[in-house]
Amino acid sequence: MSPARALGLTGVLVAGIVSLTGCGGSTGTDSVAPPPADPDAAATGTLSVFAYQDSITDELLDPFREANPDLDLKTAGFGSNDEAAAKMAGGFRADVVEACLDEMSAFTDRGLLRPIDPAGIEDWDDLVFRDAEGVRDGSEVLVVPLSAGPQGLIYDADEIRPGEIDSFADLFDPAYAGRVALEADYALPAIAETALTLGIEDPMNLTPDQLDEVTQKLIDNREQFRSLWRSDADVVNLFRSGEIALADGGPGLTERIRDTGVDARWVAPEERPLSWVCGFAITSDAENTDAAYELIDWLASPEAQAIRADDGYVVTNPKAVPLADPAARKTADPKSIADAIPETEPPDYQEWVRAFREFQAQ
Amino acid sequence: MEAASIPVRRSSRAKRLVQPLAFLGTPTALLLAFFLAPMLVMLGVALDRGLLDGGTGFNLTLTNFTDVISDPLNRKVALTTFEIATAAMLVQLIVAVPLAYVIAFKAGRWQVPILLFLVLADELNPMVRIYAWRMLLGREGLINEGLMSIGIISQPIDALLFSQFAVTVVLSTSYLTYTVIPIYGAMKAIDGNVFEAARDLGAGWWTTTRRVLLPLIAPGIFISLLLVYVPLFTDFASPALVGGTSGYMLGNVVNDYVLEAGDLNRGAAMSIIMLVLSALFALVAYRLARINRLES
Repeated sequence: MSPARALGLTGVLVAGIVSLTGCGGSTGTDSVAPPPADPDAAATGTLSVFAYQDSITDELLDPFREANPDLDLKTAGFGSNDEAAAKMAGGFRADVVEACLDEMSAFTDRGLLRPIDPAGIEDWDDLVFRDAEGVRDGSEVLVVPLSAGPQGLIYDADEIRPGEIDSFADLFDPAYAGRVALEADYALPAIAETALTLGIEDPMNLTPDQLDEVTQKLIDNREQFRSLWRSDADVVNLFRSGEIALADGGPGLTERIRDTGVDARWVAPEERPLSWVCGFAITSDAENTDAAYELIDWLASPEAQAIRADDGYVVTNPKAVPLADPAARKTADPKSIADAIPETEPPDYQEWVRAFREFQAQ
Repeated sequence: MEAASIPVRRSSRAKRLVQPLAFLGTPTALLLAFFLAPMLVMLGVALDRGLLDGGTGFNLTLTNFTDVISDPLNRKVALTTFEIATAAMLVQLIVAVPLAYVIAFKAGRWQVPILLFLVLADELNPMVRIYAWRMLLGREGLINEGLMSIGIISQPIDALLFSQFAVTVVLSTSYLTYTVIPIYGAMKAIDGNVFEAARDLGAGWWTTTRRVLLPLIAPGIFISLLLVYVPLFTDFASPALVGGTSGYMLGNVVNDYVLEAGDLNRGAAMSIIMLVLSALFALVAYRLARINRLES
């Protein structure tokens, strides 16, 4: 190879790679995504879905794949909405993303979502939580609520007698010192639960003094906690290996723990459980909006919602309840969380994150 | 005649200069694109005001750096990280030096199989390795069960897991391969006769180790420090999974900045600061280890 050719090749390589490095910014649109002209036509092309792993199980997606054989459905999982938003802002492309109502700003602040036309979702008018805080940005719908759940207490009935646990305050009871784990994949649950134990009635809107009080309580009781759990698999392992006997969590998680042979029980705390709602949104970079609508439409249908019900989640379409396994119907009924405290994004959430870091850094 | 020969010499000299540069150009370009360009992007993010602070477009600022440095919480975590990483590095050196000595001078035909085993051990998925440690160190783990079965303890020792001790143990074993191999490489370069000479002159094993072995393997230790000590500061999986409420390290801080707070700018600033400190550490280690021995 001559020097000139080598230099030329080098130039091409540098230009190519640098241009690739420069890619990744959002080139999306914020106009309402148009629903498919023919909602009954099978979807084609490629559809990329970015969601929590338990929302993209084969059990849930296989019927959709069978109904749309010419569609190439690609899925990728994440651990938290902040992680998803950070990856998308960094150039990860998806057509549909799962977003939870208490973490919407992670997406909206970066302009990652495209408004949805509810007319494109057949069961929209049946969905509960469709008017919940976070679903809309102004008048525009950003996310279709598809699953929900309460956050209460999980205990091992082989170690703790049923009836002993009835309050978030039990997480701080010295009788269970060193046998408790606290959710730590994001700051909100631990801080809100601790606030409730302090008698604070609106745990989603803490004053700076209240947040300080909560932080101090967590720090003062650091030895109380055996570990901090950061994923479902993590807390399942903690129970199964006998490390803990008590943790915060929901009924779906309790079912997963029971599947490993632990006699785990779920209880709603007397302060009222917290509740979360998550759904699917169309991204501002979505290339296949027709398929995106069809997927969300399927997930909102009673049949798909019944599958979620059997997995221990609260459904958002009440028509799914009669279709669910009889054992799961009570938990799946949206009425079961009617009295719960909805998890909403605190206005000063960055301060919450910092407070939780302060607790962990002690 | 002389006037005609000058352009030929110039052309030849230019060719001599350009040719190696041209052939080195491709790897240099790849290095620039895949190493330097992402670093520059990260620096750009760290110098940007960012969405969280209301910025639109690129707004040059040093606020992310000053915020990260002035935060007393970060300084506290940095101290904890320094303690854990240093303890883990010391444990690894204490294990690696004798192990490398045995492999280099005593293992004979087992030399290659032992090295291969070390490399294979490193191939194990880090998550699997961490969970294996949890099974060993846990309340119902092999160590607690073993100690209880022979009557040494009556209650499980909780401090074995979900503690700074557990983080140190896991980190110490996670990078052992990268500690042993450079030291082994340095030992292989030593003429075995120097140990005999030391013995002939009346030096005991400790004096031989201190005055002969350690100075000669200093370059290997330096390479180990670079390969292992610096990454120890950025690890976040081990503290998250075995640290419980007491293993929060700098890697977790960056993780929380980016994935929890969504603050890519301060996360990038924190990473750049750690990178600069690592470079300073490398310079100090270079001086201490007198790596110029390699050149001689």
